[in-house]
Amino acid sequence: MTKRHRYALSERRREIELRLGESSDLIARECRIGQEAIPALLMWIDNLVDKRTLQLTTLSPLLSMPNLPLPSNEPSECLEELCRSVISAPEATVVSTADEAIASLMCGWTLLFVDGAEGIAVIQTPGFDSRGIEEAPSSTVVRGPRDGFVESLDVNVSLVRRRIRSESVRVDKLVAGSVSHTHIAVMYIHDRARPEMVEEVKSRIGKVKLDGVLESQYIEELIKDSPQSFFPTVYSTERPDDVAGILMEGRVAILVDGSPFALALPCTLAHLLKTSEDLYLAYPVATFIRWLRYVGFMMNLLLPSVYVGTLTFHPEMVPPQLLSSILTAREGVPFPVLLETLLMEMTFEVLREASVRMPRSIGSAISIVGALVIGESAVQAGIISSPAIIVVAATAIASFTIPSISLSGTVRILRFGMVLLASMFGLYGIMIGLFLLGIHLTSIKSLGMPYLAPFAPFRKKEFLGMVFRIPWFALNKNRK
Amino acid sequence: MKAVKAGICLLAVMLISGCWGQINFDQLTVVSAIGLDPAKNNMIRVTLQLSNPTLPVAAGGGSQQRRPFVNYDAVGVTIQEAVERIQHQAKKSLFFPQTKVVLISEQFARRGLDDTLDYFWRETNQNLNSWVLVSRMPARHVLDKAMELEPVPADEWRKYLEGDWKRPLQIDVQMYQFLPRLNQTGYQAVSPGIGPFNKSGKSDIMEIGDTAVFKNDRMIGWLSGEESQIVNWLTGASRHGSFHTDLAKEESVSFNLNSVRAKLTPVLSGGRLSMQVRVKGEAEVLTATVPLHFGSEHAMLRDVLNRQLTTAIEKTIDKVFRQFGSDVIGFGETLHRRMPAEWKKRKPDWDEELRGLNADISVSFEVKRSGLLH
Repeated sequence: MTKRHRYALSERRREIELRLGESSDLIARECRIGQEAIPALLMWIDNLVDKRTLQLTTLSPLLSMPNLPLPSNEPSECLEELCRSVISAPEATVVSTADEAIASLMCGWTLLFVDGAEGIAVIQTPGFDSRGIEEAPSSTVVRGPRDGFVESLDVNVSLVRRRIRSESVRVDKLVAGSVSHTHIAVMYIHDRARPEMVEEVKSRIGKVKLDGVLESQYIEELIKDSPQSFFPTVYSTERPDDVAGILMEGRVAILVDGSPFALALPCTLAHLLKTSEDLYLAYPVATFIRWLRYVGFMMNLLLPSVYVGTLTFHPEMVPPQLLSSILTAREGVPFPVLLETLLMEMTFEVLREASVRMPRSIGSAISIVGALVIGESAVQAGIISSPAIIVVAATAIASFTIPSISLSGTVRILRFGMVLLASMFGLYGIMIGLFLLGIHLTSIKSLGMPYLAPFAPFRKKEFLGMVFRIPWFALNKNRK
Repeated sequence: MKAVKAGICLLAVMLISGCWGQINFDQLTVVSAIGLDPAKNNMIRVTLQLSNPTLPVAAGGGSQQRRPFVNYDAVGVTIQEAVERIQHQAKKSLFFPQTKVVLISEQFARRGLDDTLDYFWRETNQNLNSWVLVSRMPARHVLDKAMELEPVPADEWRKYLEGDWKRPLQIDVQMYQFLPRLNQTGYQAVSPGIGPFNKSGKSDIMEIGDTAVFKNDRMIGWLSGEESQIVNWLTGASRHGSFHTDLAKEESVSFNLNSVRAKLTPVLSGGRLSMQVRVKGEAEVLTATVPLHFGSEHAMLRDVLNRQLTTAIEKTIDKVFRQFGSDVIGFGETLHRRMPAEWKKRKPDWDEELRGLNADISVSFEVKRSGLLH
């Protein structure tokens, strides 16, 4: 085999085609370039490449030089020179191995082979449709920016970058997933985030051994501290302004290609009960809403268990009139208090799940059935008592005050545990449950930060910042 | 293994505590009143008023066709025994922790309570916040015949006794205050009375008023409304009230009294104990049957009020100490606090001490307002 034939185009083409199993969307285009009419070959994957960009940046510059001499006679040098001065794509480099070239090919880049050249030029020509930027459905705000992340990593990084126009914002790209090769961006502000924290995050992502990473949850579960815990120790958000705030606090954000949910570390319980909208509202209102949220959190966790516990063990604690009306409402109800509450809770959870899954067009039908049939008729038929419905409804409404979906889910599960404890041991059982919960919460950490951070290792300044929304003018004064 | 150990520890924490007491909620019937009557052979007749839970009127409970309450009674050697008998009649599980009132019939109170009220000391499922009333007729009849605006009479009584707006014409007492005072020489028990106001056959209107005075566990007499009011001031239970003075023959002025403060001080002079009573307060003219000139007759009004109040207080103290020989004012406890050694010495024959006690009373009320008229 002569040297000249070692990099013969047909062989190179064959090699790539075989590696891709002659996949039908692999496109190869042969052409001749320059006065010398040297054979060259372009390869790309259909649909991953924006054909217009390909034509503008690669094809037409190459083909419009039939009368010009090639920059060099040595094919390898010629290829490099082509990348440098002929191809007008934003990025074009020469790689030496087929593996690297294929990795780029899979990202929507175009490969350029020149007959006899050792290297392979990779040209940035990706272009695929991405969803437009819309309001984040999981966290809507009344006041505040309305853009949400989309599935494209580049767009997402740009959304954050656009908000912090600082040279100190760092974006480190990593790849995870042995099959999916998902791009992951770790974002931080280098003079605010502690370097060891950033290193820890990167090393944790580096340890991810998965075939595919289709959603940030894959990463979240693998990098979170105390993974057995029900509580989320990684924050997730769909809002770029939220991520910008997180970066400015010196925390680290992780953006995963293909998922509109960005992750952030460290994350404590207090972070999960905060929303970015707190900062967009007037400080008294925001403080009030924040307290309301804390109350909602406790209500969500404890209301049904307190109902069951008080009625089965301590009816003397119920005020006489209330006891009288609960007793009358429960007359003829065939289920004991516990069963009734669990039934209603389960019904609600089923309704919630159904309403997420079902097509939008029949959504109203389900809500009518849910509200009327279960609410009205069950009470009128005497199957469920109205206090139980009130308790379950209040709990359900309270559960939506928790801004974090993952925390809300955790509390939902713990609620059932609390109800069971209450049914066996009354208020005493609830206290035991709360103690266990407290022990657990104080024992877990998120990236070195205690999970109950400003509360449990008490830090006055941060504590005040969590309980109250400190008005900006007060913060301004402190800076001076 | 670790998890198993942790589980065992947790289970132990739960089970060892003894916090077991699941209540059959659906079988629960609230006992709203307990009545205690004497029965033959030194037995006790216990009457329980069980209230039927009703929906509030706002929730459409107004048109319910069922009895709001039912009374059950049984006789037993102890209250416990009688309650167990009632349990067989009522079938439902009796729920004591929300009992509103405990009625003790006068006859029974005069016989002596101590042995029977032991039930209330020991029973865990009861309401120590229930109000104690002494009924002038058998408690069972009061419970059977009482007719109030509220469907369950005990509810109405509790609301009245809890309320602050009423005139302090009886001395309200709750079970937790009543029980220890039955044995407290220095601060004897009292209880408001209840009885039919006018008997009209099947159902009667019940009146709460006057005060039953106990000497140890035995009731010995009644205090009228006026006297109860004065005892209320002296014990500090009430700060307000009203008083009628006789200005001349068939002419009287009524005062509303506010911010009444009474101070009892034991004074020891030459081995003789006496009691100093200082009463201060503000008065407001409510009604007068004679035309008054507030400016010029102000001093006169004040003097008449103070003089007549002094007499009234003297009479009340005299009645309580000399006639009943019962320290319902709590002077013994005042002495106990001020001069513990002296109290120790005098406690054994405190009755005798009370009978010979000299009370030095001074009353200073200021007439501050005269209503809308000047």
